[in-house]
Formats: sequence, C-alpha cells, structure tokens
Amino acid sequence: MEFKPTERQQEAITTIHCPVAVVAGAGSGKTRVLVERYLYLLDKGVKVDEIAAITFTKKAAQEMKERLRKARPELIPDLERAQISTVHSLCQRIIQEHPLQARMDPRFRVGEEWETRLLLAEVIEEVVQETAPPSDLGTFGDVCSVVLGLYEKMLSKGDLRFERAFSEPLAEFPLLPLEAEVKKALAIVPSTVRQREVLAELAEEWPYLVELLRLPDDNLRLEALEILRRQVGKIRGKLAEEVRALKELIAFAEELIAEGKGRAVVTYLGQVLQRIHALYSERKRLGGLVDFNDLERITCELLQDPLVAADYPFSHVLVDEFQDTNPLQKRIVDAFTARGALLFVVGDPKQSIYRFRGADVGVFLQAEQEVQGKGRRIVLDTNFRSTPELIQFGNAFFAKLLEGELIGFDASCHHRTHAHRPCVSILQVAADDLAVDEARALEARQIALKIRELVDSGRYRYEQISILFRAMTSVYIYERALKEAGVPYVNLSGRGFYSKQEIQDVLHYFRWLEDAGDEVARLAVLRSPFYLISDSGLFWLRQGREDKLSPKEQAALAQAAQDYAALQLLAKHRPAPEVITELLRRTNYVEKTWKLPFGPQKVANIEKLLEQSWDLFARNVYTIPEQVRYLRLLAREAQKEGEAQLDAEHADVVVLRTIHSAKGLEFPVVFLADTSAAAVRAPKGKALYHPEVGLAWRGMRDYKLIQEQEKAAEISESKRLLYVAFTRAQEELYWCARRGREVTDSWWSWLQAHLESIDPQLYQLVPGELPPLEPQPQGETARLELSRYQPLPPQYSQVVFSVTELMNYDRCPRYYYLRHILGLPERSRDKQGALGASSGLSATERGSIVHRVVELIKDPAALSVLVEQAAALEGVELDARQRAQLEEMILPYLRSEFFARVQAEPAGQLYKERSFFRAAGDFIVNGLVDQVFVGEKGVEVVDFKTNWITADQVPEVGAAYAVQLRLYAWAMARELGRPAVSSQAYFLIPNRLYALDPELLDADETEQWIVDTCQRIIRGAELGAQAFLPRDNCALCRQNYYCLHAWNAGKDGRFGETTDVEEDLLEEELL
Amino acid sequence: MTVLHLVPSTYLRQTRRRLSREGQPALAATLGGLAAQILRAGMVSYQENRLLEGVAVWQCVQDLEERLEFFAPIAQFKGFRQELQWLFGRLDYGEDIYGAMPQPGRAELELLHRRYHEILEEHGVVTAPGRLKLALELMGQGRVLPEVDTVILEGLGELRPLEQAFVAAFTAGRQVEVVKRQAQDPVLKVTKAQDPADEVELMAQALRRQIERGTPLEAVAVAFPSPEQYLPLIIPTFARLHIPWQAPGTSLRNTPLGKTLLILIAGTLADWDKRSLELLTAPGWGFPFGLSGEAHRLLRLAPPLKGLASWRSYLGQQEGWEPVFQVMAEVEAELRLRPLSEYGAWLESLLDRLDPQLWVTPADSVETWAELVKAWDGLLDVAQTLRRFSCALPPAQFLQLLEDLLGSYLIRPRRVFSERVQVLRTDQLGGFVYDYLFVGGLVEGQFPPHGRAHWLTKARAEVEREQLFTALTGSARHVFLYYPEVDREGKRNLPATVLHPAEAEEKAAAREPVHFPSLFIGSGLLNDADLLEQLREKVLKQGLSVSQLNTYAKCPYRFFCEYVLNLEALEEESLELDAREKGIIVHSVLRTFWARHLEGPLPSLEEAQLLLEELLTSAYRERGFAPPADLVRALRFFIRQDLQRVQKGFRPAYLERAFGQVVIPSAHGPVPMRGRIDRIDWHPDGAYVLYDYKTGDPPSNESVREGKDVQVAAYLVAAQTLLPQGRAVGAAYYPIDGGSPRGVFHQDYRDELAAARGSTMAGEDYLQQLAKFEQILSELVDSILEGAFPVEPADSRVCSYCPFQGICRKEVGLSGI
Repeated sequence: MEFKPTERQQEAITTIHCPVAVVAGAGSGKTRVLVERYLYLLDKGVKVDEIAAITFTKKAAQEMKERLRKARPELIPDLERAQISTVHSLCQRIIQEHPLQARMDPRFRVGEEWETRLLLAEVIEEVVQETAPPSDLGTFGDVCSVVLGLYEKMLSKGDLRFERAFSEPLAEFPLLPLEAEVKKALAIVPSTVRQREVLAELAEEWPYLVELLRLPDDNLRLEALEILRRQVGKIRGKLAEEVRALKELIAFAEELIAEGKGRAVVTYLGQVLQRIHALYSERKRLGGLVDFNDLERITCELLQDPLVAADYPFSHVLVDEFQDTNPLQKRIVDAFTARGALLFVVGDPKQSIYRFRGADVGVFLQAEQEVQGKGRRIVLDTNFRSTPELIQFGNAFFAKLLEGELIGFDASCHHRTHAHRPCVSILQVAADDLAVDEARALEARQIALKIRELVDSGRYRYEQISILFRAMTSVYIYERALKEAGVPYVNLSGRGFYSKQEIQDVLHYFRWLEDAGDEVARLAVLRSPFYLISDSGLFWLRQGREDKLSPKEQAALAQAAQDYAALQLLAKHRPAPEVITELLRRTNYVEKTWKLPFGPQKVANIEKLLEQSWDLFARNVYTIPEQVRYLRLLAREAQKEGEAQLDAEHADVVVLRTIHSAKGLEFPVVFLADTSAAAVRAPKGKALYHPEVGLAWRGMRDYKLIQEQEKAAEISESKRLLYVAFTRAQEELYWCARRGREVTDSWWSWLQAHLESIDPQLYQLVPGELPPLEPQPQGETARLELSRYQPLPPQYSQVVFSVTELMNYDRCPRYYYLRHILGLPERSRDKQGALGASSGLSATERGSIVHRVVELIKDPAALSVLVEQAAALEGVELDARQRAQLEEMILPYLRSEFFARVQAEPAGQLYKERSFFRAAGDFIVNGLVDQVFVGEKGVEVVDFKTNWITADQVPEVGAAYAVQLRLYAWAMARELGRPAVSSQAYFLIPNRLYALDPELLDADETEQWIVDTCQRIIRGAELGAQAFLPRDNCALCRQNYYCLHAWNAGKDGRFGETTDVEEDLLEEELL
Repeated sequence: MTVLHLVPSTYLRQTRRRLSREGQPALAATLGGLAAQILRAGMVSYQENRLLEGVAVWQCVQDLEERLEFFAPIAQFKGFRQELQWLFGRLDYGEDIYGAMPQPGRAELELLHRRYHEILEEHGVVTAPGRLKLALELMGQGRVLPEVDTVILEGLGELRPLEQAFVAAFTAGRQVEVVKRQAQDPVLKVTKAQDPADEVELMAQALRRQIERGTPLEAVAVAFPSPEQYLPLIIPTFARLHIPWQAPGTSLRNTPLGKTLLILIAGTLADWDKRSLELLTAPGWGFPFGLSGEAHRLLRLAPPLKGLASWRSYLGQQEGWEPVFQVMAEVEAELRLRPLSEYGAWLESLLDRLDPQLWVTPADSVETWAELVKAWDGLLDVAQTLRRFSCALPPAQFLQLLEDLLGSYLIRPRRVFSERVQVLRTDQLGGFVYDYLFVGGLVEGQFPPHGRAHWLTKARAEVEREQLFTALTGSARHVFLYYPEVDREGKRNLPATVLHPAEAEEKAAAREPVHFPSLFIGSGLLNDADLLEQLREKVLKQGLSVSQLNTYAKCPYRFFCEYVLNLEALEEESLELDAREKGIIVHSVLRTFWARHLEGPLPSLEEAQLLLEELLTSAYRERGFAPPADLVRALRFFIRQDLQRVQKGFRPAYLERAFGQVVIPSAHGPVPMRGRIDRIDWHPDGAYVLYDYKTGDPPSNESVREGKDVQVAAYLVAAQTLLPQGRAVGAAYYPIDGGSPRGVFHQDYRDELAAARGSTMAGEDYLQQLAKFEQILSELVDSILEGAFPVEPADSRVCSYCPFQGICRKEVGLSGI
C-alpha cells in the first residue's frame, strides 16, 4: 500500500537542512517516517556512507533495512554497507576499526552478560577479601552483594567517581547538651501517676545511659540513645512539648552516629569500588572482553580524538527511540554533530522506560531544547494503531496522570474508524480477605477464563492476545491458572527456563551421574517422566523392597539401572550434548513428555537445552562437569532465560511478557495484569547511589534524600511504563485489578483516582464472579510427529587404498586396524632413535635417505654429496660414522650389474619413482614404484629395501613384501599396457635381489585379490576391531605396544615405551 | 602426453577419482602439493610445522617488544599475535597490505615480519607460501616435471599474487586450460526458515530425502558462509537424521588429556578455586586420580575455598586426596616466568604421567582409547615444539599460547570408508559440480561478508556479489538456498542481498486452536495398603516431633520426602556462619545465660550484657569468627527487655525442656508428639508461658492462630500434659531482634508479659483457640496417617530453599541443580 504521509509526517521527512526533534506518540508511524526520511536524503543526493541511523534494537535496524530494500531494490548493494544499527553495534565497529587508539585487543569480543557478571563477581570477591570491611557492612557475602549492586548502578549511569569526598566535617557528639536536656526533663513536675512513673523510670535508667553515652563507642551510644528515645517517647500529652528539644537532640545524635558510621562505610566502599573497577577493567582488557558499558565509554573517548572522528564523516545522524538514550550515548551523537552532522531524533518522552539501564528522559528534553534555537520540533500526534475509543480513554486518563510531569502530555488523534463499544474492560476480583498471592490467583483465573471466552467465541485467536506484566515475580501464578484453564501460552518474560520441570529433569540426571549417592537427584529422576516411579514406589525403593513395586515400575527401575550404567560410562569420555541425546533416546523422554499437558512447549524447551548444550560444546564448554557448572552460573547470573519460542512467533499461543519487551509491538488484545501491585518500590538496600549525590549508607542524611529522589523518579517512570503498556492494544484492553486491600501508588489506584473523569461510554466494569472451571478434555489433543529416521545403508564409491595399507593388512589385520583405521601414530617409537640398527638413524630416516640417493644417483662419485643432501632433506645432520655407514650401504649397489643396467637404459624405458592411482573394480589403489623397466616383453619392477638383514634372511624377509611386489607389478602392467615379467625387491644391505613368484604376476588375478581384500576390509570396518584378527608375528610389529594380542603373547609394553624388538625387519613403505 | 590438473585441496579426492574413472593417465595436485613435488625433485630440504609457525609469532613479538612503539599499546594481546599471523600470511602470499598503513606501523610490521622469518629459518621451517616461493625459484633454474605438457586449472578461484606467479611460471611453455564455472541456471529454490535450528532441520530433511531417492553422496554438498558457526546445529541434526558427513576432528583441547593439562595450569593460576579442583578431578576428564565417590562428594559439598593450603587442610584428612595435592603442588612449583623450552620440557615430563590407559583401556573402548593415544602424541608434538623456543613467558600468557595451540590441533578422526556428505564454506564452492547443493546461512553480513575496513591496513574486503552468487549457483544442477529469519539469539536477520525476496518461500504456520488437557499434579494421596500400614506403625510407635508436624503444615510433600522417604539433602558448606548456625549460637548463649540465673537475684543489666557478650564472643571464636556488631547490639537490647519482662513476674524456670509423652489423638490411635521448648517462664501464681527463640522473622500472630505454623500450637497442647501443675497462659516465638513475641497470650497477663496487642486473647477466646490448636494437630496427624502428601506448600516462600524441588516437580526455583 502506498504511503501517504500526513502533513506533519511530511514535514519530518523533508526538513533536512536543520536539526529536527520529532515527538512521536504511540502508533504514530515514526519508524515509517525514519525510513522515508532516509530515502528522501538519498533522493537529495546524500550518499549512503554519509548517513548514520541508530536504532534501539537490532530488530528495528533490520526492519529499517528491509523497508529500504523494498523501497529501493536498485540500492541494495549500497545499502549493504549502510550504517544502520544499534548504538552498540556502531560502537563496536568504531573500536574494531581503532584498537590501537583504544588500546584494545584487535580481536576483542563483546562478552555475554553472564560472562562479564561472573568475572565481576570474582573480582569483587578477590578485592573484598583483601580488605577489612567495617562491621556494619555485615558478612563477606553481604559486602560483595552491596558492592556488586552499587558498581552496576554507577556504571549504568556512566559514573566512575567512586570515592566520595565530604566537605562538611562531622559535628561533635552532643553529650553535654544531652545531659543538660535530660536534666531538664527530670526536673519536670509530673501531673499524673503515669507521668510520674515514666519520669521515675527515666531517672532510674539515666545513670546507666549516661555512662554508655560517655563511652566513645558508637554501638553503645546508639543503644543508649534508643533506650532514651523509647523512654522519652513515653512522655506524652502536655509534657511532650517540654521534652521536644530533648527528642530532637536524641534524633540529631542518632543521625550523627549514623552519619559517622555511614561515612566510614562510604569511604570504604569508594576505595573498594575504585580498586574493583581498575582490576575488572584490566581483566577484561587482557581477556579481550568488553561489555556494553565499555563499548559506549571507549567509543566516547575515541571520538574525542579528531583523527578517529574524521573516519566517520556523517552528514546526517538519525536516532530512533531517543527518549531512552543515556548521557554517554548523547555524547557519542554529539561527536558527530560537532563535525557538522545534522541531527534528527525521534522519540516519545512518554515512552521512556529504561531508566534502570541508565536511560535518562532528560536527554531527550535537552535535545529538544537544543533543536529549538536552530532547528524544528515536530509533533506526530495521529495514532494509527488503536481504536478511537482506546485512544480517547488513554487521552483522558494520561492527561490527568501525567499532569505536572516534566515530559508533559500531547493528546493523540485517532485515524481508525470507531468500534462503537467500550474497548477498555476493567476486570475486578474481590480480594478483601485474601492473602496477596491468593488474590492474584483469583485474578489470574479470571484472566484465563476471559481468554477462553474470547477464543471460544471465535473473536480472537490465542496468538492475538498478550498478557503484559510490569514485573514477572508472580508470573507463575498466572501460568498455573492458564494451565488449569487449558489455555496454551508461552512465557517470553525471559525467566523460568531453568526452573521448568523438563529442564530440571535433565539437570537432575546430570547431578545423579556426577554423584551416584545423591539420593535426592536419583529419586527426582526416577519420579520424573524418565521412569515414572510413583510416590509409593519411591517409598519401597528407599526401604530396599523393590519387590513391592508394580511389575511396570520394576521394569522401569531395571531400565534405569541399565541406562545409568551406560550413561555414566558415556559421560566419562563423550561431550555433554551427546550424553543428553543418548539420555533422551534411551528414556524416550521426548515422546513421554509430548503426551503431557503442554507437551509441545516442554519438548521445545528440551530441544532448546540440547541446542544450548551443543552451543557450549562449540565454545569448549564440553563435558558434563563443565556444562553443569556453567548452567548453574548461567541460571544464577543471567536468569533472564525465556522458554523456547514454540514455533517462533507463529504458534497459536497466548504470550506472557514484560512491558519492556513489548515496547514497539502491538497486539489486538492486551491484558494488563497485576495492576493492584505497588507501582513502585522505594529503593531498598543498605547503600544507595545517585549521580548528583554519590554514595550514601543507610542512616545518612543523604540516604533519605536519594530515596526520595529515586522514588519520585520511579513514580514518573512507572507512569510512562503504564502508558507504554496501555498503548500496545489495538482493539481491546483488559485492565485486571483486585478490589479490597488497596495499595497506594498502584496502577489500579491511579486509575481509580481518575476514573470518574473518564467518559463511562469508553469502558466497562466486569465483576469478578467466576464460574466454576469446566473440566478440560483429557487425553492427547496433539499428535507427536517424530519421524523415526532409520540409518541409511552405507555408500561406497571408489575407496582408495595404498599399497602399504594392503600389504600391512595382509601381514596382520589387527595391525592394519590400529594403524590405518584408528590412525594410531608410530611417532613415539621414532623418537626412541635407533631401533636395533647400527647406523643410529631410525629405520624411516635411513630408508628415506637411501631411497632418495638411489633414485637420483647417476655418477658414483657424487655419492657423498647426495647422501649429505638427502640427509638434510630429512632434517638429519649426519656424523662421520653415519655417513660412512650409509655410503657403505649404497656402494655395493653402485658397483652392481643392476646399476650398470639402470645407467644404460635409454630414456622412455626406465621410470623412477613412478606414482600411480589405479582403479581395481570399485576401488582405487595408489602407490609409488622405485624403478620400472619397460621392455618389449613387458615391464620389470624393482623396489629398493634398506632392511638391515643378512643374505640368509632375504627369502624370508622378501616374502613379507610379496603383496607389495605383486601390486606394483599389477599397477605397472595396467599403467604401461604391457604384462609384468618380473617384480623384485632389491635388498641393499646384503646387495641381493628377491624375485616375486612369477605365478603372482598375473594382473587379472591380482586385481581380483585386490577387490576381495578391499571388500573384506570395508565389511570389517563396519564391525570394528573383532573383524581384524591379529597374526602371530608380533615380535616384528611396530604397533605391538598398542596391541592387546601382542601383550598377551608376551610382548608387553606400556604406552610411550617400545618393546625390545630385536630387529627392525619390516621397514615402513615410503610414499 | 601427461596432463596435470591443478585443483583446490577440497576437490583433490574427487578429481583423482574422476580421472581414475575416466581411465586417464592424468595427474592431479594442489598448488601446495605441486610445490612440494618440485622441492623434492630439487633436493630442497625444509620442514613443515604449523605448531612452530604459531609459536614463532609469539616469539617474534617477545623478542621485539621493547622496540615496538606503534604497536606497543596492544602488543601484549593474544588477538594482536593472531592478527600478526594473518598479516604475515597475506604478506607472504605477495599481497600489498602496506598501502594505507601509517609509516611507523609499516616499519614495525616489517621488523616483526623479518624477525618471524628469521625464527622460522633458525628452525628450518618453511611456511606454505615459503614453499611456493622456493619452488618458484627452482623453476627459474630449469624446467621441472618435464613429463607434464598440459595443465588444467580447475576451480582455483581468485589467486593471490604469489600463487599467480607460481602458476604462471609452471605453465610457461605448457598448454594451459582454465575450467571456469559458468552460471548453470540451476533449479533454484529459496527457503526462509524460522531460525538457524529450523534452517538446518529443513536442509537436513531435504538432504535426507535426496539420499533416499538414490542420489550418491558424492553428488550432494552442503555449504554455509561460516560452517563452524552452524556446527552446534549440524552435529545433532545430521546425527538424528543419520546423514553421514565429514565432521571436523576433535581439537586437542577437548580431549581428556588436553583438558587435564589446561586445568592444571588454569587451576594454579586461579589459585585452585573449587570449580578448578572439581574439573581437575572430574571422572573421565580430569587427572585420573581414581578418587572414590565419597571423596568426590566431599569436594562437591565443600565450601568454596581457595588455595592449595586451604584444600589440604579441609580435604587432606580424607583418603585419596594426597596425590591430588601433590600434583597441584608440583604444578605450582613449575609455573613461573620461564622460557618456552623449559615449559616444553616440563610438559614432556608431565606426559610420562599421563598414560592414556589411566583414563580408558583398550579393553573398555578401543576407539576412545585410540583417540587418547593420538591426543598424547599431539601433546608430545606440542611439547617438543615448545622445547625449541627460548622466549620467556609468564604463566598466564603461556596458558593463552597453549590454549591456542591445543585448540588448533585437530586429532585425526578414525578412518571411515563409506561416503560422506561434504560440508563446505561457500567460498570453497566452484571447483566441482554437484547434482544437489544445499546452502544455508545466507543472511546479510555473512554472504557476502561485511566489507569493513581493516584496522591496520584500512583495506576493505571488496566483494563481487554477483561473482559469489555465480560460483554458488554454478556449483550444482539443483541449488537449495536457505536463510533464517532470526539468528541464534532470536535477533532478526535479513536475507543476503543476492537473494531475491520474491523467491523466498513462506512457511505455513496456522494451526487450529486446541485446549490442552488440564494439568494433573495428583491428589498426593497414597493408597498402598502395605505402605500405609508401615507408615502408621512407625508414626504410632515413634511419634512425631513438633518440627515434623510443622514441616507437614507448611508442605505435606516436603514432609513426605524428609520423614517418609527419609531423605537428607546434601548441601554445600558455607565459608561463613549461616542463619542456622547463628540460631544455634544464640540459643546456646541464652540457654547458658538463663541457666545461671534460674534462681537467686537477677543480674544487673550491665552484668547481664557483659555475660551475654562474653558468651557470644566465645561461641563465635570457637568457630573462628568474631560476633557481628549488629548481633551484639541486638542481644544487649534483647536482654534489657527480657530482664524487664522477667522483673514483672514471669521468670525462666525451665530451659530446653524436652517432652515426649504428649499424645495427639487420631482416627488410628494416639500419636506421641515430642519436642523441646526453649524456655518456660513461670509466674508465682502458677501461670506460665512457653517461648521459642527466633533469630529470623517469626510467623505472624495470624499464621500461628490459623495453624499455618503449628509450633506454638504444639507447645501449648503439650504443656497441658507436661506441666499439669500450672496454667499455660501463652506461647510465642520470641524474636531476639527486640520485637514483641508473636503467638497467643491470655489477656489477663498482658502487662506482666508486656505482650503486644495483637497477640493477646480474652479468656473465652483463648480457650477456644487452645481447642482449635488441638483440633488442628489432630487433623494434621490424621492426614499423615491417611497418607495424604499433596504438593501444596503453604506459600511460595516455603519452596524457595526447599532441596526437594526436583522430586516434587513444582516449578519454582533453581535450588535443585
């Protein structure tokens, strides 16, 4: 649909030559205006690189990009690099592009909330441990928790002035004035019996109290003052006036002591916070970690550097949701405008609700003022979202509620057609004699029934209904009511995931796996859907009378024992997500859970846990002990883990969420829950902080000051939050309240105070008489569609085997399994150095050097040089003895007829180091042949061997190479298209040739042998070790220290050691 | 004629197979493989050692640290060293990265680069680009591999300057053919998934269907811009759907040996906090000390101590822990600023003690054991590499280096012969044509990747979007493209700009609304006759304590766990005195105090306060603490009020008076009730009151009267049997923080007891209340004997710290894990 802007929207879009502040009420199309302005700027020739658009959430940024793409497909390549992001993404980019200036690790990353909180908690403990906190701070745990709260609060305000200086000295303790005033009081002439008694008590107490007061001990003085206060408090009636000065003096003295104690505590806290900040910053820096506060702070500092700022020559900066900006973010924006960028901010001060995160609505008001002189302030007041009736109700109510607030109130105009019915329903339940939670439960039930009614009547679907909460503390009561009424819902509040039954079930299983003797964990697992043992069953189990369990339970118990053993073993060497997967598989947990009420949600949660476990796995949090500890921390430090979003946002379920998370969203029907709860809570805690005051400890004069200021600010924020909640509704809003036991400063009390001034046509009161709950249909209502995937038959396609592999398989299948399938190294053996060979080189080194020389040598005179070069290639530095031995090994070959033949062979008839990659049936065999002579009769293959053997041993050792010689002969015959006439091993040490039995030279037969052998190996690999039986030539084996068979045969060895092999008879084939 | 196919490593295997199938006597190699062949033929000696290359970067920074000015602010960061290695690679491949770099940065980078190569040269190590360079030099000296007369370049993509020069030199004088993938106009389908999990699920299902239809695995592939980001989804999804794929190997870091080594160092650096010690001794994953289950539990329940000495003193008496401390002490002694060579030697000696069989034997699981053996070998490799370096690192940096080395060292997986689906990076596509290609993760910023300017070179990765898309669509006959609507954190994604939005397939989602069956937690009524008989026999014989009855009143299921199942919760010890211990101390202090003053003149206030302070200090000292100031002040105040109360007539007469003969009538017979009353104060006229000291918040008067808390009720009922000679005129919780006692008092004694208005009752009401208490207790006992144990806590606070949440399955908190 084509966008037709209103006049004011048009003004906001096209005013591009001066700064603009747009005040945009709820539903007034501000995002649209932002996008249109961006497009307008492009139309006016502004380049994409010159515009920075800052949104409040990543989602908003993506939405903006999407709209821009749709509007201008031709600009997509340009838009790809457009700076449209949250302020934190922008900060991240600026720091990433300037790590040197920021003194940051160039590969820094933004830590997750739990991660940085954990680090901070560790630092706090460390620092506090090194100090001696004033005793008023309480236990070590109390100190840490106070410090954590303060630190986070101060950082959210961007304040790093931890230490507080007190300009006024502390007054002297008014001992003498007190004594004087008490004397005056004791001199009063009583007129009643009661007065006489009271004064007599005071007179009796006073000597004791004055003694305490004279001691320079604050605790004793406080004790005395408290008693004195109580005593003096009893002096009432006409005489009260006579002790007024005394009372004031007592209060002053108490405040003085509290002030003194407070100052000591605040001084201590300031020092500790300073140290914590330094250490925490250093730890983060060294770990390459930053948090959101760091991003803003570092960017702000970076942009003060003109060279850095010059890298971001924006001419237009567009900021959305500016009412939730903090002063630091404003400074970042100012850095751009200081270089000439024109500012365009959109926001609604009425919707500023992120004070707890450091947002300051004053920043918006300040920006508005700044714009006043040189730019324009535009108000978008048409609400396109809600029905006129909702808007009228809102205008009437909020005009009153926000009266006197700094932000003011601009009424909204409506755009939609009238609904002609009240769109606000006030649901009330009577809660006069009920405890708060009981009353909440009633309210929750009313909500649940109303939702049922709305859906059953066909007016709405569940997914069109949202229940909004200011705080989620009591959400479980509402969840229970929805469950009981059979209303499907999902709690997106960002809480509760870890306390869900299904999640606890898995975590208890983990706990049980960690400690077999943890009976609580064991019984929790047994009673869960894993095994469904009844309470009676648990009882008999504890009695050791398993026979008393039902047969079904006995079977479940036996299954549990089996599962436990298997899982415990698995947990010892497999990562946690594999253990969870196996646990779910063995116990059919998903299927069982699906059948429970809210099964799909539970299954989704389980899947989320599994996904989380794989995520951790990918981040090296790998094992069950690691993951359990991590999850515990996560649950503790970042409890804001919402349930899995069932089928994303498309499931037909009612959504429970916080008002904060609903910001920017709209719903046809909104239930505003728990409005009878207190709208604000006075800030609690022993220590408070305020940017203008600094730290204050309970009892200090500033403490009350901060408390009052905070409370006033909270009330304003709460009003704005209510505005946001109210304006989420498109069609209907249900205001849920409880009658009786009224709380002052609850949203409900605010509404009641102004209800009379609202047109009664705009709302209806719904009494809270609740009908009995109809029994819900039992049994399965949804079917689990878990398709069971069967394993696929394995596919094989031209598996490649090397000649060495096939030879090794032929020698010993077990060796083959260890070396070539499991891939066990031989490295440990190599490092042992000489293996029976007198050269002092390893067999591999010796073989490689000799082969290389034999391959390349043409002139016997070059022998020494070649040996040296070949040794260097192996990274070996030869000593004189080794060099002589190697030369001695090769010399007979150089004098042999064979060498003479090689020398004489014309080019094209001799191949050296010929590699091949040859198909045999469905397999491929590869290898490297040392030398091949191609003659008219056929091919002759020769492979050099460097085994340290005698002439007598040649037949035996040569036979061990038969497979190799046979395969070479086959490969060369096929490669060169001529039959093989011979295949020989040339043993250099005794300088003898070993010839393969000619019967084995037949290429077709060899090929069949290859296919059979390869098939045997492949089939065996599916079965495992048992398909690869050992032969009995263990003494010659290089893997025998790995091999159980060799151990049993008496070739025992420990890992990392070699057995005493007499001779290294079988050398490794070199490729 | 010999033809050589030059291909990227990803396709070497396929190319060789293809050639072999076609029966061609053709060779295939990668650029690196070809260079190796040339060097071998030219007798050029060198070593390849990726580990050593990594360490060399650290050493070059250490060597030059004092001379660095430009990079000085970031020289100590691990990320800087990783950046350097990346920059060195680019330089070595001949890329000009100096263009926009400031002169001082350039000079220092050159210096570092030079030093890096000097180090490599000292160790005889040649990097991959170094090998290309050497081969290039050899080619300049004469023709290599003369038998090759034709070269076919396949799927090599954009070559870097050095690679281009290498290819140009090798192909000079030979026939060259370049195989370029053309856009094939494949069957293209774009699917929008809800999130990455859904995306992988959809891909996997489609892939599985293709395989079931008989498509050879070799003809299908999966690609992502960053497959590593998708691994946590690919692994479980492909496993569930039984899709065979080539998974990456496990890194050395994630093997038991790697974990043990790292936790030994990290634990020492963290001064052995509890978590580190737990990981060090984790069965199967930590050092194989062979600790018993008891020994493990002892640690689990230990307080969060720190430091070897603390652990030794806490656990040292228990069997099995000494070897653990020995290892910790040895490591502590080894970890200090020292040269890498010494660290290497230490690691090697440590390896002698890390025999894989200590974790698992081949008889248990030959494959798991083999993984460990390979890990052992890898660690030896690391140790031996480190031995070759002289630069000194402090332990924290050594740990970083080791984490890097172990993290990048992948253990070779067991060989599998059957075919596997390849999971590729999108930039690896283009060298092979598949029948079916599934590409996921096509979101903006990932594909094409963000072209942000590099912090040092200021270069932007310029991306040819269309070229990328062509490579992608030219790689298969059927291409299935996916993108997730939101990322893994639920934040919204945009589709890659190369995807036309109109091609996106929307997923249908609408579902019929259904009402789910109501949640049935169960009545909690046990009906097993034998069980009930046993339970009744036990209760009737042994009776119930007041605190058990109170537990039942607060939550019947908790009573079931504690009393019927006889479960005891295992809780971690605290380093500080908890509320329970504080209560015990206060009770004992007050008992001792009043025990000395049951008779005779009452002490003066000063004496009383002094005595209490002394008792409190001594009780705290015994436990190694000093009494908190607020508790001292509270007790001084408490005793002041208490003495005043006592002076009015009621004086403590009995302390911790136990009872056991009191019976509660029930439908199944009388049930003995036992308990212990903290204090009974006697009035000269025969009236008395019963007190239970309370260090925390006592329940309200209302809760007491309604029987939500039955302790006071039980005392009053018991008193009638216990002290028939007197008249019970009240019972209450006596808060020690100075507040008024909460409970029930007879109105007539209000002044003597200084009772608060809300806690007194007039004569008739008082008697009725007593009768109500009797009735409440009887009803509780009856319910217990009937086996009624529903999960019905009196209020949600009851559950907050309940250790049995996991069993009752009430979703309230987290204390269960």
